Amino acid sequence: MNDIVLLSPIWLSALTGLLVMLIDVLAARDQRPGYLGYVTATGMVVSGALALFLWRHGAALTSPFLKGVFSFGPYTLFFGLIVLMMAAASLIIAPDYLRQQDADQGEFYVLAAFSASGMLVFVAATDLVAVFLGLETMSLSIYAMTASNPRSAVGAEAGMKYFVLGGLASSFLLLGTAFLYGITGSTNIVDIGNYFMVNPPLGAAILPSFAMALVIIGLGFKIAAVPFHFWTPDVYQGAPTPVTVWMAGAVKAAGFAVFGRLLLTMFHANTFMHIAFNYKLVVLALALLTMTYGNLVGIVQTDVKRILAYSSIAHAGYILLGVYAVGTSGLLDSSVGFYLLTYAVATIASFGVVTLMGGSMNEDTSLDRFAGFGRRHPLLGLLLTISLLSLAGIPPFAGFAGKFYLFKDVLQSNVQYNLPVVIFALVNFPQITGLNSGVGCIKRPICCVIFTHLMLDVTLLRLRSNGLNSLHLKHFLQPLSSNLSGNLGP
Amino acid sequence: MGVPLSYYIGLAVVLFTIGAIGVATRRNMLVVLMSLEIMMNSVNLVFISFARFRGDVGAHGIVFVVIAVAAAEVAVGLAIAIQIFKHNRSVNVDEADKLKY
Repeated sequence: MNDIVLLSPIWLSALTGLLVMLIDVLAARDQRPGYLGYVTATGMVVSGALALFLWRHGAALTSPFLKGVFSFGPYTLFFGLIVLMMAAASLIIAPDYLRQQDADQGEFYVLAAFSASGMLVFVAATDLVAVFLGLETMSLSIYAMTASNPRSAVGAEAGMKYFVLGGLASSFLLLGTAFLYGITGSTNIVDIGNYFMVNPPLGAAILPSFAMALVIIGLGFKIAAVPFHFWTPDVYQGAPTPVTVWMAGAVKAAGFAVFGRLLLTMFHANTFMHIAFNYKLVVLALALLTMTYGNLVGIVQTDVKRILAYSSIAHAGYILLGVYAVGTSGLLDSSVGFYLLTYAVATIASFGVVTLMGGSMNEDTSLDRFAGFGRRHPLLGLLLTISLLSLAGIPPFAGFAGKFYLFKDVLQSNVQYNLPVVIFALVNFPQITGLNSGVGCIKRPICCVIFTHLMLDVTLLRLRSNGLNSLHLKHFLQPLSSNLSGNLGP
Repeated sequence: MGVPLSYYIGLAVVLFTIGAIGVATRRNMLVVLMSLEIMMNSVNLVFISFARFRGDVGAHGIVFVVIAVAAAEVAVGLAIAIQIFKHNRSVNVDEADKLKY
């Protein structure tokens, strides 16, 4: 198949941006078209459908140059679809919100479309330079979207904070790329992985460890892992809520896709076992820190957007735990993808409700404003409650299944300390962050919910060796993709 | 080669550190932007030194990509600085402190 056709999801989302820009310019100034958001969302959906159609047929790029830069395996397909789904969802809720804020500018949707295109490049890239380009295309648009409301002082402040720390993170990633290039002579992640396979780093291995640390720091900022998280609450709170949905969902999913791919392809566990700086343990430390910090600090917050930001930090910790437990078979063979999917859906739903409320509440999203919310808006209250319970991991909602299979994977993997780590994660009260914001809607059921959760935690620990069918990404993709013989491969 | 590779890499790492410290400690948004630029350019120095060391022109292309991206980044950064200035009448990063818990 023609390479240009195969790349169409990427350029189609960029083209959507150009189209929206054109419509916005041609329309009369005094009657701004209200449908731009929906046009952009349609572009995202069409891109997603095309991606599904093209990439599932196992088509491969033919040009030797592009082959080294992009990969359209099941891995890219899965995360690309999550990203486009999140993008379309936040674009659908954006227009009403922006109109209420009197900030409904066409540029917002243009930037969103470019950002989505950058995200697809980011997710599909197998070359560090392409990763950097995708990252910057995605991030630069989001910085501008964050500060897009000219009347919002907090928006500008959030944009500044995100910009400065995002720029710092990109520089770290870029320096890591430069060192990896210096060591291996290539920027292709498969070549780099092969180089380290042939020449395994030994002893202190200062340069490889340094490069690895830089890559982990650079991507750690994007996925908001503690201690690289400090921008997250401020930016999530200050940004227009549709942009927050975008950052908490799409950017985080894309960040994890790339984080997993880079670490597992370049720094293959077997080759990096013997050096002093073991990245597996670094990821484990990040995971434990991130989930604890997110859950603990989330408790004392009084703003719903901040609470959800801390909840998203805590979830990053759980996903990192999944990345830690991934064996040599790669991320595709773990439940991380499913966890991300449940997280993404619950995030869209909860931030979506906050968006609907935020616009009319003059952007006051403190917890007090949500008191009695369920009585005033029964359906929205129910939706918010369900999605918060799902984020907290309460059965029977999807978030529980995500956590269940994630913990099960960690227990069944042969990584070090798997049992203590899972016990730590369980007593980490993943539910508290979510439940805190549920207080406004529902008060009484909480105690019995916590009790149920603890009961199930115990059951889960006892079930740890039982052979339940796992929700591996592979099983999910079985109907999606025809050739799944390869693992994470490029 | 007259000057060994490690000197270039050492210089680049020093520049990168200066940039990072600048981003972390300076309070003027414009100086922060400048520090980000120093970081990006120190990475360019690393790329170019390794390219020379390996006799590979590929990295020259990467440097141009990085320069272009850095220019785009400054464009967005200055726009945000203008927004900050409009609201605070200064580009002091510390004065933008409405978001905290």
